[in-house]
Amino acid sequence: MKRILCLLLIALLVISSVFAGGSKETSDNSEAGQSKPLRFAIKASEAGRAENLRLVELAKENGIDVELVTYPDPGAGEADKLLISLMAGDEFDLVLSAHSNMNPFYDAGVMTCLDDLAADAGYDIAAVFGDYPAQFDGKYYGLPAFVDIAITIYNKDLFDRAGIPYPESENWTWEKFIEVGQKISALGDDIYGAFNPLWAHYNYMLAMQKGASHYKEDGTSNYDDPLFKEALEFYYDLGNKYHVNPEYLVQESRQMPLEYFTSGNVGMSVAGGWTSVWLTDMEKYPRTWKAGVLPMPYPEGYPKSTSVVVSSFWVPETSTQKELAFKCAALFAENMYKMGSGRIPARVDLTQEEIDSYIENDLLNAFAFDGITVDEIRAMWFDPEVKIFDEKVTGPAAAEINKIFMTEGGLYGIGEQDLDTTMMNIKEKADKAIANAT
Amino acid sequence: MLSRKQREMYTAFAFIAPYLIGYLLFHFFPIFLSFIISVTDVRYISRIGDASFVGLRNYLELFSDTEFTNSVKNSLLFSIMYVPGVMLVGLVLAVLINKKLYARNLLRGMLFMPYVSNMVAVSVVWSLLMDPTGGVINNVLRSIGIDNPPMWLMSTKTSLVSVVIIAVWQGVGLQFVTFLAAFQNVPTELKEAAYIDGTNGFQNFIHVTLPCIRSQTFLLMITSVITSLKNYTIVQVLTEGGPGTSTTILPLNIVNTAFTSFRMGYACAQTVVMFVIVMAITVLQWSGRKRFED
Repeated sequence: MKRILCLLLIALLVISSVFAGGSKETSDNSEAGQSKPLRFAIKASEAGRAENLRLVELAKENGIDVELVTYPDPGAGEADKLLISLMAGDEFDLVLSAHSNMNPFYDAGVMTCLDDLAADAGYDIAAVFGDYPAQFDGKYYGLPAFVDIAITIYNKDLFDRAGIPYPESENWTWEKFIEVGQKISALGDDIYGAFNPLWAHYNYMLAMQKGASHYKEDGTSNYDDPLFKEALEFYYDLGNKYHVNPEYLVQESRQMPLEYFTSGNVGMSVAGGWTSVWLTDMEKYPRTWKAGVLPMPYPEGYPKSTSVVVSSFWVPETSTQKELAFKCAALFAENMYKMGSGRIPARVDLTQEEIDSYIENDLLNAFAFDGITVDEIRAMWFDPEVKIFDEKVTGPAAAEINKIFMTEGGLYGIGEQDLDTTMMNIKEKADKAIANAT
Repeated sequence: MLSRKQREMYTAFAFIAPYLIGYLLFHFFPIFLSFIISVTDVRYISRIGDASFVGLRNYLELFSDTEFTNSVKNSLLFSIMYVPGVMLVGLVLAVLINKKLYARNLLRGMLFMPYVSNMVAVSVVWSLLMDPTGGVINNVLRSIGIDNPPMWLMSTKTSLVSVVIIAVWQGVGLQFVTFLAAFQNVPTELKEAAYIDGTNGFQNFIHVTLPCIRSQTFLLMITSVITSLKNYTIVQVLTEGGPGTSTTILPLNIVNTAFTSFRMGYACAQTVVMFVIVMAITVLQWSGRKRFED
């Protein structure tokens, strides 16, 4: 009797296990000829975002069945789980990544070149997205969904207290930034003219604005270009010499948080456009003082420029529905900015009316508390004259180069290494990293 | 029909099978694989099929790699400071708490608390305490007339020592509890006999108590050495190996090589070297055990 009962229980377990896996209702999408949903890989931390759920809805409206498949966010020093998964052959159809993070995926050969897919679909990528799409070796690998354009945000209250008129987007140079920053820092010990997190790209930002490139034509690093030396010195001088930012040592040792600008003790912040959330999310960052927005400052005598981070949809090599995945990537890339998260479209085919309508209907309301105008938003994010450059290194050994800048730049920042030695070490180590990576 | 002995043997295997399978899969197999990968040029972001055999090239490169030699030096320095530090502090604390003290149980709990504390929280607190510009420690030092207090975690000259201080503070709980437990097993008649023979408290401790707890001391020493050489978390969360590379210890360098430089083959060669170093030190300690215990 016991044996029969055991067998029955085991049979029940096996049967329920089989049906547990097959009970999911799969939508029949005969229009698109889909036998299974497209698998859209998404980090766990981003899975709950309304815009992603709206994208799935948008795909459905266009006859494409998409399911979100979450994967764990990599922690500090951890490997990217998605990369491991793709290298192991796991099937995914769509991924959204920042351009600077795509290099390892390209090197690993897990990305699909989109040139042929676009040609087959009769889709002109350049006509829709201009120079924004992710390219490797001259070929398209990603369709840009949105672009994060660096901005300046400032605390009007501190400008009032220092008796400084609010800065204007026209001629907003680093020289002016330093001038007003010093006046705000003079307000008190705990007040800083500006605050920027300790991120690698600030070390070379000025060089990029002056037209430098990270790599020479022979593939080695270009860090012996004097522009990089000037850029590094400029960045650390902002704190150590001009006292616009907190001194490097203070910032590093006190572990000042990323959102320190929101404390109300900081005059300005120059960072990615995503920092506008510090102004728009009043629940998370409550404040009574008003803020203003500007484009990123640029060096005097040079054209206006700003750093960007472009996020693109791409199709993994493991996809078994590449044509449909491309169609969906194009649909998402063209429309993601409409999903209600205030994204800046990476499209060059939008008319001025479409841009104005987007600013007035979707962006302006979020900045209502600060009374920010359409013109200010246009100057900050939609100025066609602004030259753009990638915020981070995007070529070989990109992650390692950023780490080298942090390590060597940090020694210069605390005064334990002179500038020439710092640049020499950066050049030497970057060349070694590039050689090992290629 | 199985004999009783055979049945017992199979049952025993059945009981240890889950651990054994886990060990083979997640410990032995990766260690074995590390040896294989260390003689290839496998990159983290390349297909395994693209890798080729490079012989001892990775090992030879280690000798000329200043980042590697620097990390080995830092690891050894870390161990040289950490092991005596944590043993000595643990022993002294155990001796003090072993006496009849007011609120002894509370103190015992407090001393053990860092050992079970979250390392990230510990690092945040210590970073603030050691902040050279406005931290509590340097403010106290300045208030007693020290004009140029140490830069602690923010200088290449003091960062490793600072990390060791925090590591000792965090890890001493285990040593302290183990020593305290060992003290309870020291026969009182031996101590009393030594007192009758005219020893004072210190002599009694050196000549009676310490020899009686040598097995536990040896165990703690072995585990401390291994722990200190394998240490990763505390350095990662406190300094990430900086300033410069002043606190980049070997495990940190291995992780950077594998996941920032993506050189998995070369990283594995470093892990093999680390494995050999840890193994050699452990074997040396074991071989000296008998003399130590005699």
